Amino acid sequence: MSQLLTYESIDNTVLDTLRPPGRQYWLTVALLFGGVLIGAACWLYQILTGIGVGGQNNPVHWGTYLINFVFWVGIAHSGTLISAILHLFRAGWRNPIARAAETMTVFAVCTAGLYPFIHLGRVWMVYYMLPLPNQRTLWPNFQSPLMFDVVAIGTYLTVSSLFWYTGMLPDLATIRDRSQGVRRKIFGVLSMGWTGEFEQWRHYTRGYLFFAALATPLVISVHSVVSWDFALSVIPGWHTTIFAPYFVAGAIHSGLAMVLTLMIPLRKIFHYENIITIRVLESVAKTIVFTGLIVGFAYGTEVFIAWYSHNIVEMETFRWRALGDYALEYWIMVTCNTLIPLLFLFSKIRTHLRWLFIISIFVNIGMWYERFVIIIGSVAHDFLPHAWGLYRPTLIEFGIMLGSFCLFFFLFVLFVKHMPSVAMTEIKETLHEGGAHVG
Amino acid sequence: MSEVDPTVVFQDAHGRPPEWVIVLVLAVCVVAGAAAFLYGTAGAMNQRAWQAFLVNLVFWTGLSCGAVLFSAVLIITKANWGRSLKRLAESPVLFLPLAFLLFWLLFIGKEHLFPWIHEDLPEKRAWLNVPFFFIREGAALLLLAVAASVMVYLGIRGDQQLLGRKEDAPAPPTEAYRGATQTVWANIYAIFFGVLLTVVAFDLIMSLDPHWYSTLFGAYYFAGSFFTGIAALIILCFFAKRRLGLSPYIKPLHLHNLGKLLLGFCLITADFFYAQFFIMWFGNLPEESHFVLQRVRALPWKPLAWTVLIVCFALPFVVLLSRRIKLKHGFMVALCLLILIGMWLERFLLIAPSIWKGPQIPLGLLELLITVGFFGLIGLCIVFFLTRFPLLPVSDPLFWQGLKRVH
Repeated sequence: MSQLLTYESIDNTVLDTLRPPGRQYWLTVALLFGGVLIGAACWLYQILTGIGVGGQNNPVHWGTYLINFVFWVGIAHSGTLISAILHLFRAGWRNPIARAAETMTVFAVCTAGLYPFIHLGRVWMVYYMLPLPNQRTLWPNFQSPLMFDVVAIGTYLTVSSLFWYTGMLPDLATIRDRSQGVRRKIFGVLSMGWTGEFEQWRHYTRGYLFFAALATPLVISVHSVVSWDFALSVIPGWHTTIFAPYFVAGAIHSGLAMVLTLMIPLRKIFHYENIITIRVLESVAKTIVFTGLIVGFAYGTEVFIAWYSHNIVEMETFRWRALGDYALEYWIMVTCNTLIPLLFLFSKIRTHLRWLFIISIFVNIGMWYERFVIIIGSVAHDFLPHAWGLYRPTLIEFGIMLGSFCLFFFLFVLFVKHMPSVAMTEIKETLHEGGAHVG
Repeated sequence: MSEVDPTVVFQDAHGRPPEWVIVLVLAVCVVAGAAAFLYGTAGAMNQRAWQAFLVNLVFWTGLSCGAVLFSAVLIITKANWGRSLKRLAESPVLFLPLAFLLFWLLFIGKEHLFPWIHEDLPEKRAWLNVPFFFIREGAALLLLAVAASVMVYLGIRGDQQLLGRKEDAPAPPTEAYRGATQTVWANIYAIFFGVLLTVVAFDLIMSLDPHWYSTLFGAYYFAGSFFTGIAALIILCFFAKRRLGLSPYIKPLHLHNLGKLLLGFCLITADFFYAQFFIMWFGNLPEESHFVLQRVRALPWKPLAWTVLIVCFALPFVVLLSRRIKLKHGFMVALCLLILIGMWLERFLLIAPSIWKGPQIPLGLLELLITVGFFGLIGLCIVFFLTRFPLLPVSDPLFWQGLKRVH
């Protein structure tokens, strides 16, 4: 179905994507930037007016800001799964999409990282979070999971950026060697004097392997810590032992869906059909079935244990989730995350681009709602009926959310047109084995 | 790079007749175990005998399921590197029907084991009642045994047909991989592994302390089961190299990969343990934390809890970081034995404190003999399987691909 790849054809295909873009491209960039501005304006309005312009109030203090935070951290996870964990597994199909997924990780963590700032009433006091010696006798509470989170996300951003950049070095050098003028200079600086000597390759492959081995436990710990923001409390529906593995699986689930959402148009626009073959996308789809089953297993176990425990608060929480005010959100979550991905069990569906794309969108929506159900549902309806209350996001929150989505796609669109969006090196490395990308 | 000679591979696949000394030793183990169990249940030590029986049932069922899962995972992921280990991993499969039969013995001993039979727990009666309990556990164990056997059988059938042909120069299958039905069954088995072992964990372990509950408990049990399955497989490989003539098929690559998997599942089991422990410790809710406190803080269990933590997780983690050690088979066998003992003690630690009220840890000759009995039983299953069925999955094209890669 596809022609055989050669070193040259790989270089040419990837370098073709870096040609000066047309008007359509800049129009897209401008539109996305417009969205970012809307989000920024909303945030500015919130800073000037006060945090009350969002819908968070008693008893739901964590609204879309936390939902989006967890959502974007989750999206980030599959990038590391693909680039690090599947690298350790020697799964050849990861190579064509590793770069784009890793890029997605870096930008998604950046987007996620904005939300704790947005959620602060006085954002200029954000440095209070850091353990700086100071005269205010303020010291962060190291027993707080929110403090763990600052450390976890900070580490994750650092490691995934370094991993991403290290992996890009040989590719940057390839571009440098095949360009002239200013561009050559810029890529010369970016590639940090890569010459392709034996010694450099030796360090590079060792370094890449170590990064992969260290990033793997890191990625698991990051979303475990995010889950503990909730599970370490005693709120019904939050305080449950399965949360850490369940959040990690959910994060990868959402991230893989986002990979499909991004890869399918990218492949079409950049003519990557020979590199990102349908088999690659199919493998992503199969992995989505796996993570979807784990997430479904967690949903089922939670409901069962709530019933088995015979703890009246737990039982009421889960009854209300499925049948109460947010029942619609709950069932969107269950359907989109576990039932719809099961369609990927049919090979006709998982090898069909349109279906792949549509289902990936559904999973994205479902995973957003999962965070909604968990974050809003549990505090809206906890121990005391007297303190129950509902939450509805305001227009300002929607504006900021729009801004964050636009920011993510804005950064991604800029990246793919100015940097190599496919790791040429990695595909060349496995070319002799006839890797997964051929055929 | 030496070429693979199909004739030799086919010859090796035929396997060898059983060594009667080994069979005899294993049979003696079974008899000793059975005798100890009968003696225990008949006398004053009946509580201890039933408890040891349950620990062993849960441990060896998990181990067998975990080992078979290794084969299922190879099939599902279309991995070719480990195909020559497929039969070894599948060899404990015959224990699963036996586990189903042995489970019914619990019906006799139920009064000694399950506190909810006596305790007044009307609100949990809908789930914890004797008929439903035995029906669903029986069904779970039966379904596991059936799914595993079908998956294994589908692989063996092709090999037997191929080996049965009386040709001078047998050739490996030339067609592309065609294991569609087997893949379906491997998927079914893997799903059963997760779901049904969760049911087993909830019922046979969690319900012993009927007021305690944890959502992660099922996943913790099946992750640990896969961990023990891999450890058992490494030990089996050692004997297969010496006794079954499989040394040309078990290369450093296999050992290295198995070692990595063992490290991976050591970490995952430890992670699940910690995820469960940490939430309970931090939340400090009485109905949850009593389970942990009883084991970690109170005597007589406290030293055992620390032993388990070190033997199952801390020690293997540090040791397995080294590549050189992963390649030393003898050393790995010793480590795996240690892990298996540790995981047995871990299962014991989950079960015994919930029902044992005595001042000392009930570990003695009786427990040892019952464990030896189970060991003999599963050993006989493995010997029977490996001597009756083809040792190498010769009808599997990915097996041949893997051979080319390794050689």
